[in-house]
Amino acid sequence: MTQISTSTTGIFPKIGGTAPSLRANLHKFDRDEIDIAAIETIIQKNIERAVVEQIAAGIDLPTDGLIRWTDLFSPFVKSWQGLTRRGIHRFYDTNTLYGEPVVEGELVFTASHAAADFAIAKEFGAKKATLPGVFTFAAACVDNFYHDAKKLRSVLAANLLLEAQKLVEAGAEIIEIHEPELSWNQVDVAEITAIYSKFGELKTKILVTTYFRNFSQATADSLLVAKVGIGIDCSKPCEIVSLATPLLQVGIVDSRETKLESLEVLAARRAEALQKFPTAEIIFATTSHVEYLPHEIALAKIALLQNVKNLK
Amino acid sequence: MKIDLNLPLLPTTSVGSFPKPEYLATARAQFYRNEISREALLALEEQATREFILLQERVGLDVLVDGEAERGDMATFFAEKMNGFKISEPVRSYGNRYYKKPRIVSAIEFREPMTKHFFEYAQKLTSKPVKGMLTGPYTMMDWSFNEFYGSREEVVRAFAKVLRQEAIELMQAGCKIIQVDEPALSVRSDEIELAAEGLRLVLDGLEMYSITHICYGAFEFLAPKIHLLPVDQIDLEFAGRDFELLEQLRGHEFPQDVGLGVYDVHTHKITPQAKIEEYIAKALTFFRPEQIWVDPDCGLKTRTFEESEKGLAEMVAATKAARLSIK
Repeated sequence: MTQISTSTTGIFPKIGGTAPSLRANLHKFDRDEIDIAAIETIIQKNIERAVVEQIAAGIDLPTDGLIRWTDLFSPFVKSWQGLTRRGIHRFYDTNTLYGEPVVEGELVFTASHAAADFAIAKEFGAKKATLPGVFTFAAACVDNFYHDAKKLRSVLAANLLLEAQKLVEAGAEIIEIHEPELSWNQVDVAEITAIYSKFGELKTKILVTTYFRNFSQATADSLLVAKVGIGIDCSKPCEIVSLATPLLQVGIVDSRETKLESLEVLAARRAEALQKFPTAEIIFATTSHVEYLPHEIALAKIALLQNVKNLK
Repeated sequence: MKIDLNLPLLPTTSVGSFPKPEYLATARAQFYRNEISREALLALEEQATREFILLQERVGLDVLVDGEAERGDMATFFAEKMNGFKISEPVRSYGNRYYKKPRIVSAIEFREPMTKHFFEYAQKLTSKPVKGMLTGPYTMMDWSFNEFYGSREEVVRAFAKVLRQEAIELMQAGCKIIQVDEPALSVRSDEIELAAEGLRLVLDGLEMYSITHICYGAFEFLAPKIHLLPVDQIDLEFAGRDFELLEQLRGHEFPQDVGLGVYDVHTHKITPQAKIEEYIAKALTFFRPEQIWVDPDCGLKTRTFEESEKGLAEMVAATKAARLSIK
């Protein structure tokens, strides 16, 4: 019997809803019209809003919404030693941009901003935490220090593992690691296994997910050997034919299009996933970052996931 | 189409937008609250346009823009003036910046000229050529939610039909240089043929010098195919990544002119004249002098008015020095 639950992926819409406007207040903070304590309160109110909205929509595994994150890398650029940021760059094929992390010195983990925010969100019911994948992070970096791609990935992996441990301590029941790079460019599968085996040993569920494109069979197999769960984007073509993972996340509701999926379409996607990839635990989720949708439509979209779960 | 523009070597220009003055932001908010009339808002947009033209004349640019006083987001602005759309609540683009992403809900159709008024208004204020500025069909497609058409190709063709009509409006109004921006292409090199088809549908046979602007993407993948774009000039951001793009272009065909982004517009730090001279010298190791136009990396709407003027002045000074070194 497959255990079925629902979740969202990535950054949740930062504006909308009943919390004080993060957008307006960040502008006020930039203009020195409010102080750091005031903006901190507003950020925390919005973290609460993001979790509460997910729970109200019937999500079983709410995230902390990544409300403070400006992109997938920003909390780490801010907290680790050795990283600064350069200009902006589009995130894969989206119109959302990230600040390019620049490696200027030895990367040293200091404090986990990601875990601190997750701890706040945990109070309101968050269960799933998020980290950037090692390969995705490395691909985004400008390396002015190591000048060795494999070395950079190894150091990033060590630091992200420390972040993951802090998230476990903060009570994360599952950590979703975003690795679109693994479906975008060719990567050495042995290196994937070597890196993610260490994450697979953590005392929580680990899910390595992709979006926009899907993993190749070889990449999926390398993650299975590492004993981590796998996330796929079922709105995109998928060449994987066999996936004997105990934990599978299926991005089933498209977070890049506003048109609401009909129940028939979702039922067909659900049936195909269950039939193609028998597994002990399956999570139906949004295909990628929820913030690609306007707030009201995002709420309507994530509410569909409960319908997917309840289908017979 | 190559036409005689009577421009100096290394013509200088800007990419499109200028920083909106505070009074315009206030007026726009008042207009949406029905506190001022459309005519009152238009008068202030024209005032801002005059200020943009004066600034560009002051720093000595060769080809001017109207500065886009009337535009918010570059996709939403056009969608609001075409049939076929609902405009969504804001979604984030980066940092704390948001835009209202258009939703295509029925057939896309031309309703009225969209950019002609401000082109004509700006051109009357200066003897220098003013560029007509459109957002390209590929970018309009990629930056809209599609709830109506069956494929991305259909959406591009529908946008191209409407944008061609707008391009003709501009040409008939005296526009000699048209810029059709395609920033979305920078991360979709696999669809460059589709973007090229869209540009061709908009521009084919029109008697204007054509430019497309592309920025902030994965140029390492785009570079081998960039020659496929059917325009006279490709305008690219070079300075933000310290000219590493130049190395990505080496070894690939680049028959078009290049818009050389030499001023990083995503930092408050002004790119100094000496650095820009260095950038132009680097560019001359790959491009012929007559291929190069000099401009900022992208639109200036995220900078202050003062920063924009200083940055452009550094750019013009560097270009003048470079012209002397070439001669």
